[in-house]
Amino acid sequence: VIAMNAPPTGPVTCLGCGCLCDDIEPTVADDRLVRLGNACPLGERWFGDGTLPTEVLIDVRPAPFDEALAEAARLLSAEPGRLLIYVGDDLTCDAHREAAALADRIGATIDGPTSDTVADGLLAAQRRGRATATLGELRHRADAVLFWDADPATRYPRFLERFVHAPALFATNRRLIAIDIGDRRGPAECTERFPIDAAEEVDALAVMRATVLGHPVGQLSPPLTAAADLARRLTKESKYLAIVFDAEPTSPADRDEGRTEGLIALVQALNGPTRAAGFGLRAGGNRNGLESVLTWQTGYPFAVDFAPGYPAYAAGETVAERLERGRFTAALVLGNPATIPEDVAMRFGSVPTVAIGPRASEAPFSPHVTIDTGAASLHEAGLVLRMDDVPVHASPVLSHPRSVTDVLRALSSHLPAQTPAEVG
Amino acid sequence: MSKEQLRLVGGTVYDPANGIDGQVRDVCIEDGRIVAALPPDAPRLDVTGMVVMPGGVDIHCHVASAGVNHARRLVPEEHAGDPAPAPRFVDGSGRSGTGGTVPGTFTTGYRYAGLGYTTVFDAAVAPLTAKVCHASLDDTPIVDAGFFALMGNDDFLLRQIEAGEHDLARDYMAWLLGAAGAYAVKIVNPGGIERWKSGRRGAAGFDEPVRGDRVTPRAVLESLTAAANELRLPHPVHVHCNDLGVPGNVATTLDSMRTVAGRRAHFTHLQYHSYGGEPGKSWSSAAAQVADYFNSHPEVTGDVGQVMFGPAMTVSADSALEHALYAATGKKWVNIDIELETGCGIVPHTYREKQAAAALQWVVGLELFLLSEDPWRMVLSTDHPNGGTFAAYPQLVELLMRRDARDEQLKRLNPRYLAGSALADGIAREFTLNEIAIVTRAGPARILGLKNKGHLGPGADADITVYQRNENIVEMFTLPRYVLKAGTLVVEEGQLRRAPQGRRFHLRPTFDEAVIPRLRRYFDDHATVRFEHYPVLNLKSDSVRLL
Repeated sequence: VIAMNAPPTGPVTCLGCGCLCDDIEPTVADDRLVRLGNACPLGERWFGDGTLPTEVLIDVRPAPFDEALAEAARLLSAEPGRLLIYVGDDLTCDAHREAAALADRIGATIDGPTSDTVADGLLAAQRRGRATATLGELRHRADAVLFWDADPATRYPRFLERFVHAPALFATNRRLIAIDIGDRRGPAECTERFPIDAAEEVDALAVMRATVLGHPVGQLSPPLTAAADLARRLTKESKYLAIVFDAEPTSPADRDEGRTEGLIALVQALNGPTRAAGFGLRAGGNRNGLESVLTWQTGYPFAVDFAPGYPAYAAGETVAERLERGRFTAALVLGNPATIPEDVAMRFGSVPTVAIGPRASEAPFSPHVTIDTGAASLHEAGLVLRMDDVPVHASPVLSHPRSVTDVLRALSSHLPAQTPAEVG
Repeated sequence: MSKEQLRLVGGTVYDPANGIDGQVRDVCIEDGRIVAALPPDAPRLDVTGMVVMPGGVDIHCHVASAGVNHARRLVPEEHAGDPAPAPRFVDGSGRSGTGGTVPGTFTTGYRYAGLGYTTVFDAAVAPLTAKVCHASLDDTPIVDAGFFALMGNDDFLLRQIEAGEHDLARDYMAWLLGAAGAYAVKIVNPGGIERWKSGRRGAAGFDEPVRGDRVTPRAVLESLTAAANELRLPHPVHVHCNDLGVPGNVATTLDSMRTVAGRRAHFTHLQYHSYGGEPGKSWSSAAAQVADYFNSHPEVTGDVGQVMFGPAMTVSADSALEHALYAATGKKWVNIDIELETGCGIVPHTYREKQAAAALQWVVGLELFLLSEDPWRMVLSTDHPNGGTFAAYPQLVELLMRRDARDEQLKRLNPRYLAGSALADGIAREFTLNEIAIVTRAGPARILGLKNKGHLGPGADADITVYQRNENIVEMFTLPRYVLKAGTLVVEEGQLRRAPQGRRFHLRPTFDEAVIPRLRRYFDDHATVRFEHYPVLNLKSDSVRLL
């Protein structure tokens, strides 16, 4: 933690979305951020003025830190096998590692926003694999970028500036193409647009893939014919095609499992006649980091249930659904509660919770124990992963009395001692 | 700190680096190191009748890179089939995990140690993703570890080669090793990954420019090998040649070796690079040609990359190769192009005795072991998990030690490509325990330049494996009776009991800082991560730093 009022030593990393822009130039005065060079509106909201609450509460009453930890430990030790550790946003991978260790120790399920936002896509990628690239490859190599039902402008404001419009080393000309699904529109600067009815989206993907593979496609509607023609032309005209889609679409109607699988299959097929990479836009707060840490520790990227005494994969059901059916008797909620999907957050009212994280005291549910902490990058150094899994080091701008990582370590020491093996 | 002492009493010691070949003698340990002697009242561990060797050293495996983690994610069905409950340690700790061909990190550390391996090197890490590898290694207990940084397709390097800027290329190499916290330079398919990323297909000629007029695979190999030798790196370039898996690739492999002749270079998983024949027409073993070259060139070292029958996971920076495997098999396929540096491809695979290609690969690997006269320079690997997992090492040891075991298996193989095989004709050689100790410990440690590993002389790390003698070689090497890591008993009576944190090997070679402003400018102009955020920071203070 750097000293109060110390000027930052260099650019810092924004976790406002999955772009993880690491060129943010902060100015600090009186322990607050007063200016953020290079930040987009989303980034400015994410950083705010850098101040976060510092409360420690049992129910709604202020409590000593150790007492809050002891109470949290009591709650989390009560019914092993029926606990949830929910990992929200704005944490470092170091905090994720501690959270997974805790879940292993107490036989909890560990999960995060993935189950309720992007699980279909991850499961499709586990069935098929995927062809992708880091975002610098999009920037430097893609001579055609096809936005599939995606305009990064609102939710990923600097995506186009950093990865599509930035000067390229290899691709001298770049076509921007929009596949507009239903009434949604891709980026305004696209010079080619292909409207497709929402009901025909998955069909369009299948037709394009079949065309790329040289399979017969039969009689098609005019939009699908146009899609097939586009696929045929791109295999000849593009040497490196990027397909950008939103991996975390906000509208539930978009969550057709066939959509992501169709996108993955199309991109894989395109690598026969040409080169292609798919880019799924991801939200911020180091969600990719949680998936990576869980994968290396347990083999599974989300929905990991330690109740059997080893990691088991509980994918297929959202956290909201598991809470709804009473799977858990208590929950440890880590991270910024404001970033938890609404249908999950509202169900945290139905079980006793311990909330630890940035703005835990502002949770929209009523935790039994609340411990405010600093946020990754703002106050806590560590590893965070961009939406393409590129690691970025987050170095803190300001100080906060507590980090999630340290609180989790302290909580662990309040749990009942582990039984040592007997050595004969 | 109190002096922790232990005397291993009465074991039969195989310590080839110190010329000890099966002598009954005590091994003395103090504070995690081997010492020449201890006071008579020092604590003792009776290992009478048992076989004592240094801890195993894996020179080439894939356990902790970001690419490995993508492979791990790809096979939840394998993890579900191989759950690994937490071992019960004497301090009550222990982490659960899952196995399969790509086990979780904790399970990886435990299983390696359980086999008596105490040092491992991840052989392929894109420097851009080095932070993920370090964090994964932090969660890989017991073993000391390091990794090799991928070079040879990186844009900055290729530009220096095109411009004839050899010194800048060398200084960049030195900077990159330090920035990534890496231990050695790994060259994968020099120039070939850039070729795949830029949309060109088919085998690249060794002298065909990948870029401009001067950047050929030969020039890349030549430049990096020269630079690594000038920097006097403890392990010079670790080379995955061009044309992996292609019939007739022995020509490229031998050409690569001749290109760097007279300089130190390590050629890895040579089994995949030792084929005769012609694509689409014929396929045969060319292991004898490679072994002949090795037998007459003492500066060259290699590891085999043995194929073991059963499930495997191919994961490689050689992404063009992985696409070819996907196209041939239709299995799951991951491709990740990594900006300005390298690539990554992943395809699950199963080697079967009745597959003609797999049978040939199995034979070629064993021939490389058995026809190479100097075991110090042709050491054991399965390129885990590519040719099979490290869990198969005991089976491989048996194949090396017992002709009847391999001849029996040979009878079951598809003979289609085995007509010219020396192994099929019969090779009588059987490895001794001393030779096993060389190819699994002493040799890899020497090749890696690790002075304190792979031997039991005074000053060495007290990484020791004690085996119960057993006619059944697979059983003997699967279940060591004791394993010590830096003097700590991690395996006792065949049970994993402790899991100390391992140390990290990484280098910070010195270089002419004039390269820094150029690198900063390059990052400002082309990279998507800021220059100051690229290096790995805060490596653990107990890391082993060399140079």
